Amino acid sequence: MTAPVYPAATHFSLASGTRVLERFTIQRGLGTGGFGEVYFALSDAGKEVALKRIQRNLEIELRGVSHCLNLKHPHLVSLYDVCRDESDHWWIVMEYVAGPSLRDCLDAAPTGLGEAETRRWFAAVAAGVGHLHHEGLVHRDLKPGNLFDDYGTVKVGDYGLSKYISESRRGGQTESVGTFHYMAPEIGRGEYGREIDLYALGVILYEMLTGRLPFDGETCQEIVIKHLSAEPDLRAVAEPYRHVIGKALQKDPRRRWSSAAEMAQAMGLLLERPQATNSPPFSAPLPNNGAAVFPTTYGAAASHSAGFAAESPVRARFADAAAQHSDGSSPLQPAAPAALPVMSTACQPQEPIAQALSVGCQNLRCWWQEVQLSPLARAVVIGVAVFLLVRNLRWLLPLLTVVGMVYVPYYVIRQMFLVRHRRRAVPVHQAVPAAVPVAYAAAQPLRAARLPKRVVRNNWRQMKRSELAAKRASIQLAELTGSGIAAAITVAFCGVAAAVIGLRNADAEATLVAPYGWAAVIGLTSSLVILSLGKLWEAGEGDPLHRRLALAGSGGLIGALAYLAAGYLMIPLEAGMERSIDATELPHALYLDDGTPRLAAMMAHFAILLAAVRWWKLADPLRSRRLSLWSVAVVVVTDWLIHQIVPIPQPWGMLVAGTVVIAVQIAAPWESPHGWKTASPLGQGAST
Amino acid sequence: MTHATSLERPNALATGRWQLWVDRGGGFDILEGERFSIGGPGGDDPADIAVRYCWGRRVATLIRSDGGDSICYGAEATSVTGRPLGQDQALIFGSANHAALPRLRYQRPCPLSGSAVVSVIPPHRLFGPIDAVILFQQTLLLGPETLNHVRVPALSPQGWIVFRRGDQWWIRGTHVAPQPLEIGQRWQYEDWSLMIRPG
Repeated sequence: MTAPVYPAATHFSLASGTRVLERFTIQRGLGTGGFGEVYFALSDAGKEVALKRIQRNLEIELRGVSHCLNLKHPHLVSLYDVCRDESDHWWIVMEYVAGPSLRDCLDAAPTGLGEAETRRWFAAVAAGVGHLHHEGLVHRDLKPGNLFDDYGTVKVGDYGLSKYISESRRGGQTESVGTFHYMAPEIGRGEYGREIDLYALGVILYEMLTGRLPFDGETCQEIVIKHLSAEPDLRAVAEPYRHVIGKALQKDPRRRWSSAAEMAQAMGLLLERPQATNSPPFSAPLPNNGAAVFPTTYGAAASHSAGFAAESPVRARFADAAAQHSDGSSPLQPAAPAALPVMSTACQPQEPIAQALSVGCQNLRCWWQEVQLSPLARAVVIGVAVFLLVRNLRWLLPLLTVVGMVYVPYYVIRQMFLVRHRRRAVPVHQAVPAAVPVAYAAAQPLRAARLPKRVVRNNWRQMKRSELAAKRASIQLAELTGSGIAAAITVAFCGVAAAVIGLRNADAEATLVAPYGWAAVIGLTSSLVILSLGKLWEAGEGDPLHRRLALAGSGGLIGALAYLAAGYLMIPLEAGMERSIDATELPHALYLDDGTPRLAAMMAHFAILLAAVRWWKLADPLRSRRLSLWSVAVVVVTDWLIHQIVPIPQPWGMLVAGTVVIAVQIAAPWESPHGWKTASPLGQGAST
Repeated sequence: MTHATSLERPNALATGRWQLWVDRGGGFDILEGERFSIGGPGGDDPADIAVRYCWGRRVATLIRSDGGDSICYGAEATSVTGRPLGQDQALIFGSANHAALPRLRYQRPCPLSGSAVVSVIPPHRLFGPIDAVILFQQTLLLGPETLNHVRVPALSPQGWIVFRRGDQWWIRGTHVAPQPLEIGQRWQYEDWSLMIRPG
């Protein structure tokens, strides 16, 4: 085999299919720079790698590169090897990053990435750069083109070669104007401390938030002069980012932040050491709304030294950034909704039992999708499962009832505690979009006007959701009290109206009025429970399964109350048990021989009713309509359907369901969705 | 020695499977046909559009027809028609709340071309070392704008069209006459190049 021939040209020297270093086959060119060319290649075994061929006036300092070769960090592009081919060309074999660079992302978002995305990028970049500094290395060429998003994992690249790039730059050989935007002023004096990386981080942070550069110009000289003498205009950036960027862009390196970790900490991103876990490296992304995808846990990194902790952040989370600012100034800024984050969901802890159940269900579903069974076999499996379930209902139902009676109070108390705790931990200026470049957005009305209505409406919802998350507990309690009073009035009105209609041709005897009273009591109790849970859940979208579980447990308790109240009011439970669809014999575990429902039947009915309907949507302040008649119809029909399986006396069951759905909607607070049209300049633009 | 390997396979025309490698643009599987399975790697018999995920069987079938493209999920896969696809939409498998399941993106970026692009939304990836699958139909557009099937931001605004004429692949630019693309050979124009190989 002879060595590849490298023609001197601006295009890639090597074609797809070319074999290099005896074991790699080049697939395509990825990019070129001052140092040479980068290719995407596959090893003979199928490993995807990026091959960087060092071409221009560079002598590889093997010792320094070897240091980089053994760096291990989830936010650094891994270097696998440095090899020399038969033509004495040096190649760096490195991790292939499939995703876009930050440069690509910024080009696609001219007004900035938004706060959540900015924090996600910055947390990871600060972690990677911090690790480099901890290892005694300075990147020297931090810029958006060297930062990559590898399918959700942000990585810092090109760190092993930065020294050489810098040297070639000083030779006036290769670098474009773009690189000068991130150069610290002391580089002109030949100072290459870690402060130049922190300076570049400040520039990158500014650019991510605003889409612009703090120092721009037509020529390299103009840009460099601004770096040396001009003060950045940070008016478009809100706190805490203004403070962070301002300190990072200090002309005197000694007045800058001391580390990337300190910089991140000032933004409320605490960087912690890795924990031994098998969890995937990142939490699941929250797509389509700019929500944060923050690093959570990484694999074990036991080989790292104890000193790793300070600057080897592999877990980033929000913290109380307000504590970082002593000036006490309000960090609130009006902002364009295009950059709204959804933080409450990102940092909301999940209830472990419900989470385990959710994971179990997901695994079951995954298994069901993958299992190699014919449709007939699947039907048989489902049939057997249903048979076993029905067969064991006699002991399963009481067991679930007991579990529900324990779990629901635990869940409610836990939610109440955690919601309060979370609201203390996430200050308002983090919960609302604080760092969006207001001035720039205001100066771009036409661009804002092009935002689709759906996007603006979603952003408005996110903003409102953030405001709900930041609401104080006392205000919530006051709102809940008001809702309870409104619900009581509504239920009373519905009860009276139903009684007037139902008893129009009868005397108002106690035995005839009692069922209406029973329905009103159960309706009011159910409404209060749903309103309370809705208040707990209004700050975030939440996991529907968890919520249905909590509602099912609450429904069981309401059913028990309904049964006891019916006995107290001497309401004949055997009446109104006719079913229209299912005429099979009722299970003895739930019903007496004459069809009278037992306690378990009543509990099961209400548990199913509350679990079957997404009641939190009806109590959500951001629901589309204050009172949806469609929802009323759906709930009543749902109760009728449940009655076909687990009957309770009718029409009282449907009366309760109808009363609850009306009372909840009328009593729950409501933000008119038309607010997004007038709430912000962007909204106005989009609605015109 | 530059090993411009001879990768031509005699059955490539019959199978309608090709690979396109574009410098600075990406790697793509080009598929010709009317029905394409979507699923996991599946051992020796990967799906046409194979995703790196623990799907042990076909989860959907993408159907192309004159009336437009459609998709059949799971058990629907035996039906003749499926749910119609828009010009740009996500293909979701299972519950929308199931974040762990892969999601694909179907795009027909240019209404003047019948070709479509199917990619995988991160964090998942396609099984092969490629960026997307192109469902080829008569023409394929390359250029910097979003209406192209293969976006190459570094390219000049001039667009390029790749097309088939008989068994031969061709490429032409806005101001460049059609030129044949030799299978397995690099085609180069100024500072960019591409190669089509049998899949």
